[in-house]
Amino acid sequence: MNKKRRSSIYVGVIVGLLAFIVVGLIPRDTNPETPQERSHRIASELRCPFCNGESIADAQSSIAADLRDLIDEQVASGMTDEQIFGYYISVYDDRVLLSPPLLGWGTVLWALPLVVAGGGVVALLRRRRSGTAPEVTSSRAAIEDARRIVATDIAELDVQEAAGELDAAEAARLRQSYLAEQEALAKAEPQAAPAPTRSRARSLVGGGILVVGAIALTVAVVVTVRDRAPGDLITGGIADQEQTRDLTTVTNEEMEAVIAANPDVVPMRLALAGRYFDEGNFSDAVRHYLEVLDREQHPEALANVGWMAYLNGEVETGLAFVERSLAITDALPQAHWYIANIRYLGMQDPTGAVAPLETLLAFESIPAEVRDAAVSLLDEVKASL
Amino acid sequence: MTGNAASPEDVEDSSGSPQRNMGVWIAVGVGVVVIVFGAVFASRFGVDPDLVASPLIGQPAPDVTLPYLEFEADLNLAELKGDIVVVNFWASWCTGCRVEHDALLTAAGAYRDAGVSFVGILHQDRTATGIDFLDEFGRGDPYRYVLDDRSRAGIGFGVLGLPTTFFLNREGEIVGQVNGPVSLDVLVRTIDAIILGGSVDPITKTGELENR
Repeated sequence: MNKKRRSSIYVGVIVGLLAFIVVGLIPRDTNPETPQERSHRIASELRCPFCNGESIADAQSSIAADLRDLIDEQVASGMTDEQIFGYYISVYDDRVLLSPPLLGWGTVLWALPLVVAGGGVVALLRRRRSGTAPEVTSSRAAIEDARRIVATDIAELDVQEAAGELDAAEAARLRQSYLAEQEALAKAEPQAAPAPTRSRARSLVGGGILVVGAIALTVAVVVTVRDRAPGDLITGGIADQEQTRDLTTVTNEEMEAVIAANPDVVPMRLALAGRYFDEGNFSDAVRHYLEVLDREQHPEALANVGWMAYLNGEVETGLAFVERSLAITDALPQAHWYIANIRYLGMQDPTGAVAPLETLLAFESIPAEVRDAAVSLLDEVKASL
Repeated sequence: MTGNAASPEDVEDSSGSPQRNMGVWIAVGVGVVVIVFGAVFASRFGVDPDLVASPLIGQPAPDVTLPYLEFEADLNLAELKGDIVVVNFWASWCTGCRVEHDALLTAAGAYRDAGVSFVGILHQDRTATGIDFLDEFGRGDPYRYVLDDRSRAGIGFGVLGLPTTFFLNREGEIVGQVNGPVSLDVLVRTIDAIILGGSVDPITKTGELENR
């Protein structure tokens, strides 16, 4: 009994851990969202209040189009998701959210599957417990044995009678008694183990703990998953392949050697170039970035080369490189920073610097010091207009 | 051999009762869950969503600036603070708006000198068709007709369909809302209540809301 119960606990624990790991391994979108993706995601989580349960993203009516425009504007103005959702809740109330919030009756809705699942597990454990009790197995085995013996007895009786070892009357008497026994055995059910008095209270408490545990675990998982930054795993921010390789302990020289041996490995070369770039060693950084650009039009390489060219006094070239980077993707925050600086300081064009700075500030993931720098530059730019 | 086999009666006595108890427990549990959820959903079904007070009741009216329908100027709602304001969302395609039109014109005239402003916001419609509607059914005097540019006012007021009428007190807070065609009776009762400092129904439903 203990063995079986323990093994079922092991199975439960293993399944739970596996589920946890699987959930944890689903990384969020690894690329930072573009503003368009962000407003589309927000619009698809909001119910169009007059369109039969369609989301604002899907609804065809012209007011839904007006709502999408407003969301685009709110995203561009740098409002956070919470602020935007909060605005629509303040206007239309909670019903505007397509998934019910974890508040009030929403909690009941979310908890229902958990309660049902928990109840099922409890019922299953209780059934198993009474079904696998050793007294029951032995008596079931004993009944099976008795049935087999009676069947053998009857078969032997037939053989003996055919061989003339028994007279007909004796055989008939024996057969009757065997058949009676067989009939009784066919009806017999294994005797269940007497329900131990402790098991009821314990299983109720255990079941309760199990249900509470399952709910707590699920809530914990949901909260953890939800609060992850884009690209982060449940265990922390290690989603990008480049980041999972711990390059911090490798020296520049070792990386040079690896790259010299594998000149086509672009990620390693980019990492090294980025390192030189951060160190201010522009000549080595440019050398590697240009090698990268020989192989692919990588936006980070384009943006950083452009910035270095600008810092080197080649304003037009620098602008061209950064613009090529932005033509490939607008998801690199530094490209917007570069273009704002080049336009404002290099081209004396403060008007052209406003939009890239506003785009940069719309990124949620940029570090505080970058945000501060962008805000103060934006103030300066606006003051000079 | 027979000693090992339990008779049917033994089985019934010793194993039946815990199983029967468990069955009772499960039945009670299922019953409780069904009753609780039935009660919850039944109570929710009973609520007409058009009759749920807007979360904006008691809040300041949204800050919107809208172009006048018939001349080149903008109206900022905040300009009217100090007056009681009746904000009516309408459109030429809305049949309920034809029903309520006369009541609004009559009330606008009746409260002309009582510090009550009427604002008609043309929602989800074009200026030209809105003006055609006014040519056909008449204009209030005094009455401000403006265009809901990109639906910003309708969204800001949480309008769920037409016609919808809001009542703003002199502090510019939304104190009442009427979903459906508003009657002269409701207009008079609500405006008088605001003037006299009485209580205003936060939400009244007079008919179905229309959407294009």
